[in-house]
Amino acid sequence: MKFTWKMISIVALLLAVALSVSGYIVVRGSFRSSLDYEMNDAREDMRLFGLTVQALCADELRYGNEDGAVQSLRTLLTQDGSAQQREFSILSESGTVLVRTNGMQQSTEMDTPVGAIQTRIVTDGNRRFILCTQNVSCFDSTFYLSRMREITSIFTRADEDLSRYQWIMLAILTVGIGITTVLTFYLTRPIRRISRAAKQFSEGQYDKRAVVRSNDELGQLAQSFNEMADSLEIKIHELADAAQRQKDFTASFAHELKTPLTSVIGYADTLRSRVLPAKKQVEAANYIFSEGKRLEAMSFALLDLFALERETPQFRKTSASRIVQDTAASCAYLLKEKNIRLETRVEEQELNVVPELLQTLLYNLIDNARKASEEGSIIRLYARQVENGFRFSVRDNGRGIPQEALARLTEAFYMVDKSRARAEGGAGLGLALCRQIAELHKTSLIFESEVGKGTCVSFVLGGETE
Amino acid sequence: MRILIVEDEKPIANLIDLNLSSCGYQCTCVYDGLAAADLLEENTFDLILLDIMLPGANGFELMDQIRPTGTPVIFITARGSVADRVQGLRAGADDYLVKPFEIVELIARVESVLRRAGKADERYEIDDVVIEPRSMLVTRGGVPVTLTHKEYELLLLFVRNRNIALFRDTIYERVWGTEYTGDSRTVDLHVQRLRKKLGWEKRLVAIYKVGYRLEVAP
Repeated sequence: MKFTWKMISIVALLLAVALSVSGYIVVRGSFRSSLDYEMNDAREDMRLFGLTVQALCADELRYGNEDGAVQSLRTLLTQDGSAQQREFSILSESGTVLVRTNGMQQSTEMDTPVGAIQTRIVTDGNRRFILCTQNVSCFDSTFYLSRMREITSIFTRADEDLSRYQWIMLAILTVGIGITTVLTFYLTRPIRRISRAAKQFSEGQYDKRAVVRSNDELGQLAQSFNEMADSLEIKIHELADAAQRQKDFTASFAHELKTPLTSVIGYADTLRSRVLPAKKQVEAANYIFSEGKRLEAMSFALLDLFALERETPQFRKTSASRIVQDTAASCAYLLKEKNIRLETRVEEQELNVVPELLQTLLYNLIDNARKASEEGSIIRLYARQVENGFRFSVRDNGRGIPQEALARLTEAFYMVDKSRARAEGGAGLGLALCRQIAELHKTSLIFESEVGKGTCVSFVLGGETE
Repeated sequence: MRILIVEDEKPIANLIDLNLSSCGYQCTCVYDGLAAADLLEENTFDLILLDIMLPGANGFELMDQIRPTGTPVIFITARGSVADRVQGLRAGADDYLVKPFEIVELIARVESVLRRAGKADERYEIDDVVIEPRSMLVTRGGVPVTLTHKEYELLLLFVRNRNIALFRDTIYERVWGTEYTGDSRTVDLHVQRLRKKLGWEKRLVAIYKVGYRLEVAP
């Protein structure tokens, strides 16, 4: 059952009960008080009536004239204004009707003790009366007096009140339900908004949020929901990015793999199925060899990359100078070929790093610098303390990197100049590896380059750069 | 028959050139998109073999320039997913060759595209034997030679792959269209009959443990 319906039924039930009880009490109370008033009035009336009868009869009876007394009673009472409105009867001791108005049908009670006034309510069809009885003694005679007073109007008024009250109750109920409906609709609006936002979110519209501007519990709920959605959205985008990167990598990988394979398979196929002149045979064999080498280089680079992703490397305290020296030693052979000099400057510093990986990183950067440099030039490897940590930099005076290529440098398989990179035996994976090593050390590579003037690659260890 | 090869990988361009040249095609190689565009401005070709990922201008951009000329195009690419092939064919390519490919497949696709474009040299002449694929007519010294359907298919395969050693499994799959089961007798028998009917005992050379080659002076 919907919340609105629950609210409406509860409010309607409560209203109906409360109104019925209070209505019953009010109507009943006013009916009671009117009835009591009439009763008292009737009793008082009866008392006066009794006194009147006594007084009238006393004169006649004193002389034993009973008939005269009856006569005078009849005369007086029929002339009395009150007789027009009130029904009454007077009976003698023996039960003979002395006087009786037309409306009186009830026989009076004979056994009422002298002087006591008795009242009761009698019903005649739809009409209701108060019947008042009294015995009056005068000398030796006793008269039975009874009077009737119609009180039908009190009952009809009570009925009317009740039915009027029912209408009022109905009206109040209607208005009450109406107000409740509007109110619950208004109050549950934030809930519906949150629910709608949650539904849209679950359907994949990750940018949807619940718009609730109140400070109550619902407002807080909406805010909590939105915060949850924010963090979820970020996570989802991160996952999507990772998946996209993975996809791009796979696509590039397939391409990079197929290209040398095509040559290897193609030339081998040609060699086995065709009689070629000796010169062409050598050429074909050469292609198979060089493309095979290329595949080999690529598979090694990939192995490094994958190994880095799988293993959890051991961080150790190592001195900066040690790392630089070892790197310089491993590069020496490479640099000698092109007669390039490596200039190193190191400030002593204890570093918490994975030394092998850091060396691989520096080695790759120096190798890149070598590829970009002319014969006989200088590559500078500096390691020194800076404001926010310890900075390594590799600077060359080589050909530089075009501005538009800078952003894509660390993408796997990206090559600025494909044919030249191939000629140097590159697979486009070196900087991707470097980036991973840098990320492992919680830093990132910074490239500064100008075409024709040179490149500087740097990274800061132990800094706050995340 | 002039063929333009647009491929940034020199080894692959050279490989295609090497094989198509020996089949009697005149090949020109270019290694980037812009050079290809320049060349296409001034020259006409009968067929273009086009790589998609090219420096300068990519294959799809070149397609826009080629399409109005009506020159048939075969895309050569490493991207072999269905979506990629569909995109290539939609762009107006006549066929699609996925790397890595075998030489026989390359030649077959080149010939098939040329044939459909109506540019193929639909007549082969070797010694006194004349083959006209359009009318499925084979004559020897002017006299029609009666060949079964499979013999005819086999002959066309040899003629279209002159000087190339055809492996028994390749022959079987191309002519009989089913997986080679290792039973070489069917192929040997048909080659034997072809030799006899055409007098090609010396031309159809058996290669030990491999298959056969139709040897024709280039």
